[in-house]
Amino acid sequence: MTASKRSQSVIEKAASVAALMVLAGVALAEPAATKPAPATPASAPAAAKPEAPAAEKPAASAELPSAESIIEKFIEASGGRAAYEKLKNRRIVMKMEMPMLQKPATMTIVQSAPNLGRIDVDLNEIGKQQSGHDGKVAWQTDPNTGPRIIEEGPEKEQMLRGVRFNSEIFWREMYSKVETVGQETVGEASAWKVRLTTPTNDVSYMFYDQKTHLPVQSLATQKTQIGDIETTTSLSDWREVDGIRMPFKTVMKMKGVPITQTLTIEKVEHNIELPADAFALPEDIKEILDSKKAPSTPAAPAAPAAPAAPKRP
Amino acid sequence: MRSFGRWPERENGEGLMTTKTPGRMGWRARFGGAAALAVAAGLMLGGCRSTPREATPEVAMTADQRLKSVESFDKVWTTIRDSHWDPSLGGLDWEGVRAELRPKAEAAATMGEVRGVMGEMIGRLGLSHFGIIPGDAYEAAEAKPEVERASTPESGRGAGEPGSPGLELRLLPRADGRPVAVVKSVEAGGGAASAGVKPGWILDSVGGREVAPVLARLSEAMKDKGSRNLVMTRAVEGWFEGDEGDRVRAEWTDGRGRTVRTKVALGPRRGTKIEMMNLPPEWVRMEARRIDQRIGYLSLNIFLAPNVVSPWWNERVREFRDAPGIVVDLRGNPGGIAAMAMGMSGWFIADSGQTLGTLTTRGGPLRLVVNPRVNGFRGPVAVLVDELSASTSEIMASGLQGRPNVRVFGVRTAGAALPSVFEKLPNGDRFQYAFANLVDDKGRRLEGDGVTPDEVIPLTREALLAGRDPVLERAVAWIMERSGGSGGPAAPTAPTAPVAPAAATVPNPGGNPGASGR
Repeated sequence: MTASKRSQSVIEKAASVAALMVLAGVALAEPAATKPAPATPASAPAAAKPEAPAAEKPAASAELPSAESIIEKFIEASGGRAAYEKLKNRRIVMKMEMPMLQKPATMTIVQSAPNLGRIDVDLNEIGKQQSGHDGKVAWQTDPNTGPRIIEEGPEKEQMLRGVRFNSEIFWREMYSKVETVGQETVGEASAWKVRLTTPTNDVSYMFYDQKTHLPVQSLATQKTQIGDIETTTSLSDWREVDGIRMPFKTVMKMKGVPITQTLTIEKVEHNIELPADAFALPEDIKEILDSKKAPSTPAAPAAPAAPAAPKRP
Repeated sequence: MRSFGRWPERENGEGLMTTKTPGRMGWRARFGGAAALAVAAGLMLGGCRSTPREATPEVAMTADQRLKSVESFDKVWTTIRDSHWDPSLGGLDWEGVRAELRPKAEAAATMGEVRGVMGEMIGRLGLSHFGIIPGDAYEAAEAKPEVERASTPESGRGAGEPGSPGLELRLLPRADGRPVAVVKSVEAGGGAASAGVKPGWILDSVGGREVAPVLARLSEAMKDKGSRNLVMTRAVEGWFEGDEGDRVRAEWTDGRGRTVRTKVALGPRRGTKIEMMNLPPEWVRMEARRIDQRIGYLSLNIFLAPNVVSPWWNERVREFRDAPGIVVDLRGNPGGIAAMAMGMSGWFIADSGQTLGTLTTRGGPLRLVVNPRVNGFRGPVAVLVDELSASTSEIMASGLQGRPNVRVFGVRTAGAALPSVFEKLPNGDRFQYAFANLVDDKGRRLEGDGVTPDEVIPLTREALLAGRDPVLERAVAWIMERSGGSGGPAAPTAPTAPVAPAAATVPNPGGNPGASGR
């Protein structure tokens, strides 16, 4: 037991249970980070619900740089298209910290071009969560809520954007509209605020540091089975790995829930040999699929139809 | 030596909430974080309106304390403004409340006065799970009775593993309406059973400390709280605090009205020890069996350790697939991880898109969605609850209630369901606030109201003395009615109307002890 734990009151510890009620439903049952995307700009803010305030009109070109140029500068600053295109798959091991976790969880993300993804989160005493996309089926299993297929809809769309490998360089496919809507101070950085709109009209915001051209913050809405969750994510500690730069520290806050989730990258590998079943569906997911294919339980034999009334001669 | 379970010291060194046996867990710790949460919720005392503070003399604050008290007032006001799930606070003029009450906080001369002002501010919300916990609020329950320690260096013991008396208590009303603590059950081979304690006995004192006066004080202090019985029961159970091998003196009134003096040896706690989420250790107890070799029975004492509980639950429900019905016993379960109820309920709900309820936060609604399991159990499910069923237990019971194959039995639950957190204020007090509202899938508010069973079956001392469990008996009978007594799975039918409760009282211990076979 740690010293800090000793000094914590029981009731404060107990409050963790309360927080976990939500946490379990939000950050665990539907972990934002399990939208397969280390918080890189094109995928972290996969969608956002809030409409842009009236004041956030796209900037006149004379006042602000275009969103296209800001995003392209980011791609260049993070390694350039050529560097991204050399990468075919990726495995990331991250440490996930939340106040109520006894010890940090471990998150492992595996992605492969073009759209295969799987995330395993080992939450220690809480259990293991998995989610993924095998190219056709988006799925999730959770020790609390059980297995589920992520059906067609906003949640699946967001997940598909998340599993798109090297989504950074495919932003034109992922967003139908990008606009620079202003500049704001984020921490110590002066940042361009860019609004990203998907073809299905999900809106998110990314804040690009004007000096480094790297994102420092995103505002998004996580689409989950239990509801939309507005998140603010800060991105920092950008480091180069195999020619591209990645944010090694991601801190996400959820609106309305006093919980902060911190992700720290511990290991990144690219172009590795993945096992054949790296993206295979778990058995309980296959079971759900099979049950959907199976004919429904036969109804009880119908009673013989009453004989038709004899026709009058 | 265990050192959690204590409150941190204030900056001035005054114990905010001290335990009388330093290094030992408080009763909240012993009976679990989730229980403690509900307990704490209950002890918010309506924004200090009825805080039992008589034990602490009011002392004039220093200049620094006054400054920090005003800062605390501002902190509470701001937190509510910024975190309440309803930005309009139900139409309350929150700025006006501040303008009216802040001068009073500035003028307060004592800690009690400033707490009163903050309590008045919080009270304007008219909600539970908001409150200030003053340091002495728990004094009545916290004072530890004398325990005969075995865990001394000389004894060679003292591993510090918390022990258990091996009993469960419930509060029942005497004829005059005042509560008494009655033994609900004793564990076979446990300390209480070994000392001869029987279900139905009334607990009169522990370590020389009388139970009745404390229950009376707490009962009065918490008369507005639905979770009153939960708080009081856990408090008295906590008096049996100690390590394995310790012995606790206790006096009882048996079924014949005689006083029985015992020493209850604390034995090992049953269940699987779980340490998670920075909570004190918990012992998760799972029980699965067949009743009459047919009906499935599942009991869980707390919703924690999903990595242990969920696989167990899944496997047992699969095993009971051939049963005419399943009993889900949530009596005494204080709650825990709400999402576990979502998964566990998925075995009993066939349709997708169903929820157990909705949490509303400032960020929007969060639906407690149920994922139906492939080949789930579609026969009758009897859910058993009592006044110690709280939080996630209430979410699960209310979410299942009203479905064609489910019926809830027992007594009204604790009504302590909101997720809340505690924040330390500049003056050292703790501010509890809820950050979400909760309604079940029928739109019912659980907080304060709890879950009223379809069939209300109060516990009676007579039944306990006779070794009966009328709630379980009725649940089994319902399942057999549904299955036509055939023992095979039954077809769902529409839920029936609630059954009115029968009157249930416990004889005044000082008077006629009533019928008893023991």
